[in-house]
Amino acid sequence: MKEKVKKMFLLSLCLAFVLSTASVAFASDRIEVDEEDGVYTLGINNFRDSFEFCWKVHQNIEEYAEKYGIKTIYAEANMEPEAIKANLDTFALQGVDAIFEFNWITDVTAKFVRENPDIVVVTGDYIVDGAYYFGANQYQAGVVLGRYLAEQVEKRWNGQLDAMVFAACYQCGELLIQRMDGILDGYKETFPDFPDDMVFRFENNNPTSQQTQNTKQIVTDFYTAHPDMTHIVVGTNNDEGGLGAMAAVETMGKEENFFIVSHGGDTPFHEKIRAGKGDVWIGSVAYMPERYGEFMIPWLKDILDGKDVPREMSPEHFVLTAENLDQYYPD
Amino acid sequence: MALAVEQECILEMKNIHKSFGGLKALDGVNLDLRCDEVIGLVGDNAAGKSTLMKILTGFYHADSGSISLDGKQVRIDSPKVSKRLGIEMVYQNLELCQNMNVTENLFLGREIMRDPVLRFLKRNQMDKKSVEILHKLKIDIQEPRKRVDKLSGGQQQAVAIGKAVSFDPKMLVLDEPTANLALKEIGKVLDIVLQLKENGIPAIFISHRLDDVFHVCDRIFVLRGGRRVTVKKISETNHDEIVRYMFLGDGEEEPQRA
Amino acid sequence: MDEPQETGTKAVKKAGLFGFIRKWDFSGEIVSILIALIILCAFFSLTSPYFLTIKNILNFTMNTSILGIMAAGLFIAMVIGEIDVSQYSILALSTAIMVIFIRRGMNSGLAIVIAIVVALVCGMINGFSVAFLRINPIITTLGTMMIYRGIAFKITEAKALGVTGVFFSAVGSGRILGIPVSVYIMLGIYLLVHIMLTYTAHGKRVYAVGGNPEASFISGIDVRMVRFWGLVVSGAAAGLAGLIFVSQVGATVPTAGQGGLMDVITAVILGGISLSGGKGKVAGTLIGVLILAILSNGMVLLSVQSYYQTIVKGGVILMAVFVDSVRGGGFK
Repeated sequence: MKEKVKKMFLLSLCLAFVLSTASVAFASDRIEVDEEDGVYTLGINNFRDSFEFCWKVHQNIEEYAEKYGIKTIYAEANMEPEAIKANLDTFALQGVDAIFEFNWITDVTAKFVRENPDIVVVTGDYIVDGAYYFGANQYQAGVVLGRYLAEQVEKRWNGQLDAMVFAACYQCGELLIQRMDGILDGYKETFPDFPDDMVFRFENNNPTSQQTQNTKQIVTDFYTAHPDMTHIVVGTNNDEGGLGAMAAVETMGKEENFFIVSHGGDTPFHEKIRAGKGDVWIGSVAYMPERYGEFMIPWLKDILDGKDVPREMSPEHFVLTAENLDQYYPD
Repeated sequence: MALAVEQECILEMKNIHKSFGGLKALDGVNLDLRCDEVIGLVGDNAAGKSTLMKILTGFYHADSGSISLDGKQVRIDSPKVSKRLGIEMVYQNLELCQNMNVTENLFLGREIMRDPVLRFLKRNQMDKKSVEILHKLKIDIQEPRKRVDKLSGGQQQAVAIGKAVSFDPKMLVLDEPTANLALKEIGKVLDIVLQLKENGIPAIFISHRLDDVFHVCDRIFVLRGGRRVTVKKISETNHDEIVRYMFLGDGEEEPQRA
Repeated sequence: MDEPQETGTKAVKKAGLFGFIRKWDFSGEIVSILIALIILCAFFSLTSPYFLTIKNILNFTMNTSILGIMAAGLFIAMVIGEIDVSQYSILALSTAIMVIFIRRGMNSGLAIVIAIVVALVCGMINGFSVAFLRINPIITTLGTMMIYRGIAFKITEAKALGVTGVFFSAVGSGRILGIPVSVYIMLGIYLLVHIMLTYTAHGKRVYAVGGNPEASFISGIDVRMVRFWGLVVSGAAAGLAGLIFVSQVGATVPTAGQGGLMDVITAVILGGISLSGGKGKVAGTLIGVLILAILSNGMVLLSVQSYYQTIVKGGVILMAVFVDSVRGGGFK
């Protein structure tokens, strides 16, 4: 009898679990795929919404897709190759006309593109043979930032720079590395003799939520090991890292000895500039994630309509500074 | 039960000493087992019973002393050697795998296999043999593929004993076989022990329950504080006397004292 | 895939579902998750027109074969009472070495063999540490997880490296009778594991060591070697899964599986294994794998926000552990 009761209980437990899972799915936004003629469907395979940059991109694409009458289906892959593949396959199954792929792993997408020539694949911020490209040119963004940095070092420090410290997620892949290499190369356009042994590279790890703390630690430790240096640049691959660098500099009270430059041009940067720290955190190269949809969707519609358009589209990269912030992001 | 006639010794443990650090667990203990008897080994906690048996079954090594089987001196280095010499033990906490069935437990480590590499089992053959083994001990378990945790305490004990005897051991050591059993089950287990004797397997029976010892044993050894206090024929002693020996230690002392 | 039915005279014959369940050993667990699987399938097929299509089913079974193969290996380790969180790192490292060699001109066949050898060696390091050095398996495999992953990053310079070849095309995209090759491989592995565990002495010792290591030792079983091989098998499964991975994804990706390790453990626990070891059926693990695959697939088909996916997955883990503890201790 006890056995039977136990098994009944287990059965009902499992049933309850399945029903509650089902109800969660019901609670979310469900988009039914329409097979209407003339209505295009776009599959969005995002990194993840909990990453602010990607969330902004997602929101803006949805906004403009709606404006242009394009249906969307959404999924996230968290840069997991298996999940990327599974999502792309599922999109294909659902008969999408186009896919915006935003997980930055070339080979997975390349394979899908080869096997699905009928689907327009737009890769965001990374290049894949056979796919359309939209987004940042990571290296170029770095170069633009590096040039601006050189300008500031010349103007405010008379060209003196003791060390360039890069705190970045080097294990995040080649694109992140290009961001940092770009800064150095852009800087060297003005200062070609800047010695390589004064460039320091540190890993500041995923997930993004740890990058701030890790970067703070890196900068603090670096300065502790080099207390004689008076002109140090810290470069980070995103604004979360920049925030950590800023925190370190403020805590040490060495604001006059540091310049911080970062990629992103995002909210953390805006807030610090508005708090008056623009002399230290001198610039962040803008990627404008909140305008991705605005540029991408009309271009995509043209592609789907069969018009002759370039296979690449990039927003322009420029450095956001204290001087121009209000112009682009009014308070 | 020819107790009056001295039968050949099958096991002789002579002058066993064992210390653990500063603690003297066994102080020159002697024990002998004849081929047609069941001897009881009793004593209070920390008397040294477990330690003595662990030396016999190869888990511990004696500091000094000797062990002979059938008149030949032997060195018991490990449980594997002990088994090979034909000494099988049924442990206090049974040492059955509760998640496996009767056959699997009986044959654990000694499965009947079709080949030595892939080790495919001859399951039907093992089942048949299980039933035979249990039948020989007059144990009533009909389903060899029944999981052990679904058996009663007494039945599990029976399986444990069955496992120990299944490979024709020379002798058996039973460590508290009736502890934690209901009264009805105790009787069944004691019957099995007597059946063992009938089948020609002598045994060392360790127990706190003197009733059980007096029921199945021919002789009784009493240990106290690591020494053998006395050895008596069951017919020549009684409960009270044994209890006195266990707790007060009156009686012969071992020749070599600390 | 359960133990043969008892032939005892006292088998209770009750009509209907409960009598059916009552006669089987272990089947309570398998039946309950099988029912959960069926209900999930029913739910998604009602809410998405794409779910119950052959193409979709083949898609998600194919995509889950990587997880599935690793779960089969982990299952054996967990029955023994161990755990291995380094599988995905072993996958990353073995595939990294293989792809680097192929890109430098090595024959694919040889490189594949090297990949498996690397996976075996990683498993042996895990096994040696746990079985002979007596280090706790969680700590061991947490450490090796980071070491193997770190090496993979170093040798690939944190880049994904693409590779092509006949073998990889065949395994990644090939089909036999319409069913993807990787699905056959996964099912084949499960069949092999089931046969090994049910019909061979190797399998019995796995359960014995997991159920009662002392009894196993006393019975003459080399408990250390069983534990050692358990982790070797788990590593080998990761290596094999790695081959499927490269075939499907077209590259080695050093970051692979950094978020996915919990999925493997979840699938195994969901499948009815006891966390303390000694119990479980590999068929349950397969069902657990499919449940996770269906959940992911279904939620993508319904465009469910990722936050909900995370909540559901967490709920699944809790559920699985809770059910395990109820089975183990609740009513006894």
